[in-house]
Amino acid sequence: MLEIKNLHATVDGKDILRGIDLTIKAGEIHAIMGPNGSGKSTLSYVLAGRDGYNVTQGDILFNGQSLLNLEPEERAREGIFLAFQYPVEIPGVANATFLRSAVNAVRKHRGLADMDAMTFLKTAKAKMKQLQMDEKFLQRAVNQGFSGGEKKRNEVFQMAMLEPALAILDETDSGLDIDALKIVAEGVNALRSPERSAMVITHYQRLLDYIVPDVVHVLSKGRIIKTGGKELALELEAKGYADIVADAA
Amino acid sequence: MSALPFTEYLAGAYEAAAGSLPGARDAAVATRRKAAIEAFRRHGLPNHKLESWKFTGLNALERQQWVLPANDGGVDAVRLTAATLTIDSHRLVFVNGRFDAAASKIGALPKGATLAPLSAAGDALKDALASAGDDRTVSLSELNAALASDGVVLLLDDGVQLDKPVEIVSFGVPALVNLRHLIRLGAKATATVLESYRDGGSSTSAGWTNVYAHVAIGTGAKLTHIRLQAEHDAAYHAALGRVSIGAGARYAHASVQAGAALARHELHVEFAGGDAEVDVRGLVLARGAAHLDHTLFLHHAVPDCRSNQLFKHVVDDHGHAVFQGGIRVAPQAQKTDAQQLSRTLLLADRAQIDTKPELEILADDVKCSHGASIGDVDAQQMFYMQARGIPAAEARRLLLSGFAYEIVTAVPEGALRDYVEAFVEGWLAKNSEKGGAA
Repeated sequence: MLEIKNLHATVDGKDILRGIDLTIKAGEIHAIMGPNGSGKSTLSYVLAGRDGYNVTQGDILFNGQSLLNLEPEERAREGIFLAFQYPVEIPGVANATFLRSAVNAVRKHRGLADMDAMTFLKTAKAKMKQLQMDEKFLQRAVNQGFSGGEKKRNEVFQMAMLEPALAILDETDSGLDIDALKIVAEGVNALRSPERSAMVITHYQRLLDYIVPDVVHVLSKGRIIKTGGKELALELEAKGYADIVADAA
Repeated sequence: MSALPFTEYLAGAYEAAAGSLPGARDAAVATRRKAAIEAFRRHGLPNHKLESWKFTGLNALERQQWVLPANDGGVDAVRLTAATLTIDSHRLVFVNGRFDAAASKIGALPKGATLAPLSAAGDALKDALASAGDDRTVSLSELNAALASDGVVLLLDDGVQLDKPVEIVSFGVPALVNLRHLIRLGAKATATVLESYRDGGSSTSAGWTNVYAHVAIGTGAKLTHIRLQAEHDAAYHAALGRVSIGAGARYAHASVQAGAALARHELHVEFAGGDAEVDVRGLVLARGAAHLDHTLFLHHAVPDCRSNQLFKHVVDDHGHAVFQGGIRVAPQAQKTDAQQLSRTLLLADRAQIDTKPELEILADDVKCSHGASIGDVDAQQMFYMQARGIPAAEARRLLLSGFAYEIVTAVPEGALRDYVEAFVEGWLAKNSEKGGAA
């Protein structure tokens, strides 16, 4: 599904990613772990196509097609979803308006008719119930005045509505208490299927108790220095990053 | 090209039209109009030498030979429907600067309420003409007093509540149209007034609409006043509102300017009694070469009053927005609370805003603040929406709509807000179709 080949990227002229190779097959969940500043968030932004994140070498193939020349909205419509580490507040735009525009943009790309307002509301309310979100969040401005946990839940809610083929979760666990974490993880797990994949970026092993990965990668200084099974996350938790980073050096 | 100077030209137009203007046979009215045109001849149009006209020039007006509108014409049903409220209102329609009875529907009024076109307002015409601008505004207001062909007179006795909105719709023509309104609310009266200005000529032949509104809000009364200037892209529009507010009264005003080549809405508000409150909001949507100006002057002449000004500007292409927010707090006006905020999105390299707070605070126990921000659409917000699959143009439109939201929501919920919202959304959609500056 996703093939990252020798990916180099710069931000503000600084080399952040220095040759990443990574393949995620359909149905797999990969965890990306690593110390602060290792390039985890940069990788997520490069995949989503953010301005200012420049690929200088290598390629990203999604279902065999290179993403590099696609705008962020085109990547999203192809089925890539980035759950933001810091969801953005949009005053004056209702969550429902925003999400319905997104759902219909994706549906249009898939050759489906617009979802009418009634069906949208019904679907949205059902998904919100699963995530234990108050329906009032639909009428509130996007993320404005939401607590940290509410923002993260709103990201997972959007993901549930858009049903992406590849979900990239950028530290979705940060700022969540254990109950919220479980709910968010259930939301992610509900989307699991043989056709869908996920890349879970996290600092801590804790989230991986609930979203169990098939593969764990350790990122350091813009490279993947170690890859293993889910037990690698436990090892990191026990030993810390320092040993592994030192081993790889 | 006439050899006559502009003022003489208009004075000549006045002489020719005087006999057919409302009240022409009333000696007092004729005297007032004559004095007004003389005052206009002396003053001419305001120019850049006046501080309050530094950013907006009226030279373009002087290059045209203005005629006064002919006494004919009408408005077709489609245009009328598109420009009016969907609910029952007290509607007064003006075409060619004259009351169009066929398109209007004043309807039943409660006891103690007077609502009539100025041309049929009887003695109220004298009251309406009496009001004059101060030395900053005298020229346009006097030109208006001389030439006013119609307008609205709304008078509410003490305690009268008008449940339905008063809807004033003007379809301007390629001529100089002068409308004059008088709105007077007695103690504890309430009313909602919507003014809507449309057309203003055609693309080949611009019109100039010159409006003067005198508003007096009695003790404890409440006026909600919505104003939409949505004239043709080539039109000229000048409006002056003078508002006085009694003790404990409320004045909520929302002004949307989204049309005309050159437009200025100037509003002077004077507090005349304590514990009164004014909320003035404005939205400018400027594209092409539009030059759209809001100039305010809030005079806190008495203690214990509150005012809030919130103005937002969306400027695309080589449009030019102007916001001048004047606040004067008199020495005796202690415990005044006066807030002002101007926010602007410049969407193109050549888009411009002149935003100027003018605070003169002569009392020491007051809360006053002002602020201004100018920027482009937020890149993070754009990326967030695009990352959800929303096309850039639509994301931009949604963000602009969100930006305008605080002004739109100042309009009471229901048909009135729907009307303003539909207009704003329509403008944004059209702007997004043409590609904007995205």
